[in-house]
Amino acid sequence: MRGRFVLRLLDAADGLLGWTEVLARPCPGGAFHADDAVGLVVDRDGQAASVTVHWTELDIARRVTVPVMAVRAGVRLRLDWPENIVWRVHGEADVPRPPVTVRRDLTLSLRPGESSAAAV
Amino acid sequence: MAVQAFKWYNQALKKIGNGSINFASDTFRLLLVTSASNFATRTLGLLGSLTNEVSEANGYSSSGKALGNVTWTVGASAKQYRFLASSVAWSANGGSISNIKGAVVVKIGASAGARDLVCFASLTGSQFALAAGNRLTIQPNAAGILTLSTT
Repeated sequence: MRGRFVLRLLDAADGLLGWTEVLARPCPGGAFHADDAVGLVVDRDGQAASVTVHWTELDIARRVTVPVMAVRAGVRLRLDWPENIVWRVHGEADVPRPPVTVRRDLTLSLRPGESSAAAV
Repeated sequence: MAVQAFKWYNQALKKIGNGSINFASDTFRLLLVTSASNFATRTLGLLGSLTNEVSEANGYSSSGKALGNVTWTVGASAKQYRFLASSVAWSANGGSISNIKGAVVVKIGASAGARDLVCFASLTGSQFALAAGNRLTIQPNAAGILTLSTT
């Protein structure tokens, strides 16, 4: 069994700079380990400030602060996490899921709310 | 994204009965709220009790946009009436319209006591930002924003 984690590289305003999906296996010691060093390709230029890790099956997220650094689109960034640990069960406190940034036109079609009356 | 159907606020049902909300003649607006908003609390009654509207910036103005082409008309059958309006759209410019989570329909009135909450919808599971240069369109279903039917 592997957990599916989405990692997002964010700037100080929680703007999305890049993301990746990682499958990690649970191991004794209370952590999920990726098979290889975790990395992601930067989507757009910016100043990286944090990485959020979203455990998708449980829909919970955590935030890891990274040294503020300039990143450029197209560059592959490697996250040197010890033992490639993506998630510790007894780790940092959960945080709200990071916001998604939509970079295209979006149309949302909403179904009607219904109410009915029954003749008695 | 997990778009949900519109849901009535409880008091809106009361108000269409006592005439406070008139789908045939009142003016309505659609506004956006953040994930911190209490918009999904069905016991809310007035606009003044709604919290955390999306910040006015980058193409979003407070109190949202007017609903156009509002109709209150027969729906799928003679046993149903529907509240229908045209789509509403926002274009983000100069920056992102941030923290979009839900949409709320409000009946506009001259006083705070006449600005009634009508219905709401969650647009997404996790709030999102609309990046500059992009357009968000809220498109009511052809079946209506709200329907009222009998057996």
